[in-house]
Amino acid sequence: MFAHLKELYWYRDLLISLALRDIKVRYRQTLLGVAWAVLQPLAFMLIFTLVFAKFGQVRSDGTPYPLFSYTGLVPWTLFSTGLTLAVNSVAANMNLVKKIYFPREVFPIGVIIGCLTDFLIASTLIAGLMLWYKVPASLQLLWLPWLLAIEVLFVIAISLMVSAMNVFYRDVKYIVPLVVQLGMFATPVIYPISAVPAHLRSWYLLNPMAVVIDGMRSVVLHAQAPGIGELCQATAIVLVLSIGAYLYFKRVEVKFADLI
Amino acid sequence: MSTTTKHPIELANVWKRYQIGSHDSLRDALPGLLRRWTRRTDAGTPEGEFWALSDVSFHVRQGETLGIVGSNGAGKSTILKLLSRITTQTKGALRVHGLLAALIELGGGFHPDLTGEENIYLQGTMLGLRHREIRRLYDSIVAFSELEKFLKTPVKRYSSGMVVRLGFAVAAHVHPDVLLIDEVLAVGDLAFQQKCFRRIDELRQAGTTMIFISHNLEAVQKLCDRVLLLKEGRVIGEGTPAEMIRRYHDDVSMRTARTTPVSTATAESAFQIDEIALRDSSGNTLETLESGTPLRVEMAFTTRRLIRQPVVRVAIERLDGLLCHATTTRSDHTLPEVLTGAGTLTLEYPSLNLLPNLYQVTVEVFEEGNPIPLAAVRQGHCFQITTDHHEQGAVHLDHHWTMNGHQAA
Repeated sequence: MFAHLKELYWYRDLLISLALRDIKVRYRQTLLGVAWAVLQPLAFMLIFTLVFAKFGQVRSDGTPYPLFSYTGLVPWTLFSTGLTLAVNSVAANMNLVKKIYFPREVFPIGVIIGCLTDFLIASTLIAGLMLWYKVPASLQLLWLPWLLAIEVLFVIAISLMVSAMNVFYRDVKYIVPLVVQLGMFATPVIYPISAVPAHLRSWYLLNPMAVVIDGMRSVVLHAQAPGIGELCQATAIVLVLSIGAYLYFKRVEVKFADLI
Repeated sequence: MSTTTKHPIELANVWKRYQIGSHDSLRDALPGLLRRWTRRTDAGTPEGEFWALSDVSFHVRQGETLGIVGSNGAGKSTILKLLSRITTQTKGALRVHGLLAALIELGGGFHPDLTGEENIYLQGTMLGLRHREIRRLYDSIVAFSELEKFLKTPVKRYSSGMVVRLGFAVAAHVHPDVLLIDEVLAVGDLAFQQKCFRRIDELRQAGTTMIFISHNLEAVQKLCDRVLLLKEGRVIGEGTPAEMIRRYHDDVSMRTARTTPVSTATAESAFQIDEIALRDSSGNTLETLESGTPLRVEMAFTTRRLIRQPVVRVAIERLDGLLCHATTTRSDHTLPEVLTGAGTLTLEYPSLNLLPNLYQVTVEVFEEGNPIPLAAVRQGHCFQITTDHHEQGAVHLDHHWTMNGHQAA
């Protein structure tokens, strides 16, 4: 496992090059360019505000609903877009897989690094919205790197698994977006975690994304620290998942090029 | 596999099996998966099995250039894929010592929407270079590619020749200990090919160990120290380039018997070359000949009509394409003004002074005023010259040395 990581580190410049490639290619010939990074969560935020807040009367724990949903949508977009783009990343580059050697995990990981930049751009709007709604910033924001790390590791873990499976069974790339859509309802994006009944909450918090999004909201909107217990639990789950996913990927990786 | 010397490349009893007929969707794969679970077998269907390599063993010494030749499907590219770790072997062991780079597809990593400059960085990192190394080598790469003016243009606007030039420019700046080359030199114009050869030669001088795979047998002969001959996944020969290329030729032409020429004549042809035989002074058919000894070319023919002012041309070409000698019957007035019937035409060289190499004989028959031959047998007959002379070049020339004014010690 450490040999694999060492090799991946050796190819770190390739990782950056691929991430840059994805970002440039995605925005180069578009009209709005990087503004798209903000527009996706923004568009959903507007719809959700209309549908769930106005019509559905969903509570949002005291925060104005637009800010509430947007703070959930930005990390969720990182997860959903990252996973959706990563699942086909290896299969789409099969011509390279058959010709040049480098660790194949650079494809899904490179995609996610690209999505991270979108995330950072979209988060600037959160700052803007906080100013607008006069929500103060606090030292609790320092929890954000840990929360982000959990999320990124989680996306990478799942991406490694599905991108590998997708090489063998191409329908995986259709299954993933569907499951992700459903997953949004199992994560406090639209509604706050307080809406989850107490007896189900411990099961609910097994979902690392639930912990991350709820944590980010606590920290950004309520200037409150996230629950340490949940944080450690999510970290442990994500670490185990990452190691398992990485080992699985490296084991089946050698078979990729054999698929004619 | 020797345990004392560590060769840069070592293969021992390597087997590689492919499973044809893979499943692309879960629906197709489900029956296979169920079968695997219930019967606990890991293998796929026996009908779908294909052994690309069977019991292949060889090694490449430090600084040596090994050529691998063989028909398509013989397993050459599979060996490269195994060495580059693109795939893994079913049985056996491979070892590579040192940094390895493979020139398998130039510009394969290019993205069409990115500019030439961006693609240099992308392709470079794929080949294992660091960003800072690429920055340092950037000007040299650009100069090598001769594409200074086009670096800010997206690669999708490049011609295929430009793509190859840029790809090779990047690849040429990788400094591996071991280099694998697979057919990359097939593309590109003459100037570019010469540049490639020069660069590969530079790497050879620098002591790089190389494996070279190509159908361009001329290139294989020029570049390689030793050649491996593969057929259907097995090593069937290992030796000097000339020997192995000759054996490869023989194997290929064995399917068309060597006495039946590969001719361009049809059944209705006016002139038909029935047989061409290469004989030595005793009249025996030969495959090898000593330099300076006689060679006889006998051509048995049949005509189906009157041929006016026929001319027969016999050319001897070296395997790399050099025309060593050609002559026609015009100068000797051997043939009658009008030719009918059947017969045998013989061309005799009392002393064939060519130097050791592989040669091929081409016979063409023309009729007056028609530049297109009535019948032609091109490169149909190979023979090899062997000799003791230590000369270089195309021919042996009689010569002797003299020196004046030297005091014996």
